[in-house]
Amino acid sequence: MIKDVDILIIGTGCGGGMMAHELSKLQGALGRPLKILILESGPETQASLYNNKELDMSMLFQDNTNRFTSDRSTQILQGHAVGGGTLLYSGTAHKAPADVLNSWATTYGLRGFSDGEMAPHFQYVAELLNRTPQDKQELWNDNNRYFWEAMKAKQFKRDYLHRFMNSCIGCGFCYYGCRFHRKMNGAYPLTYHARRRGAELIANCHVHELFYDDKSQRLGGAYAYLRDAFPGTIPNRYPRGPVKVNARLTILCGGPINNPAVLLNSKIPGLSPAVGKYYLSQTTNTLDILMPFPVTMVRGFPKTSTLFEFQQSHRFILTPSNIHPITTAVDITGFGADYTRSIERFNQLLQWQLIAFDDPIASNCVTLKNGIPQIDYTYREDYIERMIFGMKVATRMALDPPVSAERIYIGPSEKGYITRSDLPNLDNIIHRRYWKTNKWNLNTAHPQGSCRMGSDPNVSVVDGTGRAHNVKGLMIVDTSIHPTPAHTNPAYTAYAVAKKIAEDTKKDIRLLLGE
Amino acid sequence: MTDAELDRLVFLTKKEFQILNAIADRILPADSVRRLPCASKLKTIERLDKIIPMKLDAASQKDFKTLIGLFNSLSLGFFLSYSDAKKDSYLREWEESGIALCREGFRAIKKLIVTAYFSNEKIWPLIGYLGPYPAVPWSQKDPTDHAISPSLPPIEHASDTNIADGETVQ
Repeated sequence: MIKDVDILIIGTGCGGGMMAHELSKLQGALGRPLKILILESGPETQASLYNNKELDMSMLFQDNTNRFTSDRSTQILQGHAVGGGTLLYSGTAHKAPADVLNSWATTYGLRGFSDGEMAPHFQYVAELLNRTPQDKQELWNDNNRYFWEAMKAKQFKRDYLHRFMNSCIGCGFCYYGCRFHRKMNGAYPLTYHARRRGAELIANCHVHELFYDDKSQRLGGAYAYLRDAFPGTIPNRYPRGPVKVNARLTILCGGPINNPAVLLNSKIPGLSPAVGKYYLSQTTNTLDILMPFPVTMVRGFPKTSTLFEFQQSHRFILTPSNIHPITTAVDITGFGADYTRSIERFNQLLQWQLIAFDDPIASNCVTLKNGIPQIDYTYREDYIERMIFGMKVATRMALDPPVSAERIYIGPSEKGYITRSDLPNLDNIIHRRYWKTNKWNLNTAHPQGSCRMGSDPNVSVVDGTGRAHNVKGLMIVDTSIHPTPAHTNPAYTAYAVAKKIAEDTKKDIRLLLGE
Repeated sequence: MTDAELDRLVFLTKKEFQILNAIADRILPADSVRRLPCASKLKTIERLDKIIPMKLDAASQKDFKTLIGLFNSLSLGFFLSYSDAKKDSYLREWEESGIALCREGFRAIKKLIVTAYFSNEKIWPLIGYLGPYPAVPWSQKDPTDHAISPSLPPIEHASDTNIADGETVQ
């Protein structure tokens, strides 16, 4: 099948969803129909698919949740469905701190990215996606209540968490698709409204290569393959097989692993040598906290507040979360009777997440091996030390009053867990010497970088308008262009960056289409 | 497990099944104090045998079989004849190994076993897990339910339907 379009958008998460939503508003502005095609590698789902079962819903993740760094130390959780990662997260809507945005503007030479200049774009996203504070404490579950009280007792800087949602009912299954349509995401309202304005969506269509048109000296479009739809998802409208899309403007929004994989698999003259480099993990450690009595953790709002005390000084945040038995059983180290007894008390567990922010390093990168993306990532000493410090903070919050937990499970520790009697000796019990990757579960749902923005084509792939250096007709818009981590859950920032780039694109649309 | 049941395995060989079953019962052992049944009583590896072809790609399936073979061969083929204490000690060596690949091997095996075990709905009430949120009766569904993604009227693209291979859509 061959398709000729004006704009090809590859991916439907924060970047792709927002670009489709905004650019579809150009319909009619050019004095002729504007053809926008959106390709998504994953399936198009509907609420009836979301059965709230961990194992079944792994189908909505890239490689059934089996995507890892090359050394298999870190699991990379990425959405693989219409909506991308936004379909499968809590809806957390934290803005990148002002100093992060200002550093993008100054250090990386990105005009229009200072905190003040980005404010209208954040405001637009907040209104469009119904950014809502989770401040009604009477609706909180025990997990969130204890977390808030622990922060209060330590007099830590904290704030209510905001989420993109509409009347969350607290079913507890945000990470497996919202069965009740309360979460606002890349699928709805963004891609949905783009389609209503005439854009076409083809799901199950995996782009494996972009092609360059020597004649016009521009990117020409993409080669893809349309697979059969998974059972239970929306059927395809076209037959299975190869697809060629001729596009005047191609916007890559497949995320920090898939974007460089496609680019490295393509022969595009002039493309920056920085493709795939400066991959950022923004790794999460899940902390399981055993209470002496049953508590509510799964049901209820997944997260309602965040610890910001160490966001600038040690570059990590802490937040409650809610995970389910399989994930818990994987997270807790050890085996045998003691291990089983811990999980047997699943309904006595609280769960918090430590999210720490790394630095852009060229050697942390995405490459291709036999056509398959490899993610080479090394944890640097200072990053490990900051995570260990964060685990000590979380341990004291969990074991000291008012939480007074029985134990907290921590990977880099002597026994794999800490009890109150260990507190006087905590600095020796949670320690760098116990940090052994592949012993416990490290994961990230916030990968960024690998196609970063910047003014220097040698160390960045796109400029501040998302346009590829030295390659006409190619743009990249999603978290892969973040030059440093967002220093919080990146979705809100990614939406706002996409909105900013969409505005720049609309202004120059004729130029970008080569007219 | 009977020979007839072993013959019905779809992914694992009999030997691989026996090794994994023995590992599973050390990771999730029988214990008279606890409410939870041991892994084999819940037919965890039979379940895993069906899960792997669905959830792992071909390369990962091959890697997993290599891993089980390596696990057994590094015990010189004696893992199944080890006492429970010796099995635990051998597993601990893998878990705590100075070689990242061995630690990862242990973690991969454990992950698949606990996935098979805790995806079994019989376990959920025993650990106080409430499971899926109760379904909302159709009549009480949000009126926007139908409007989200599935049934968009293809008004603009009606001409795009019935596209044959190689045909250009204008």
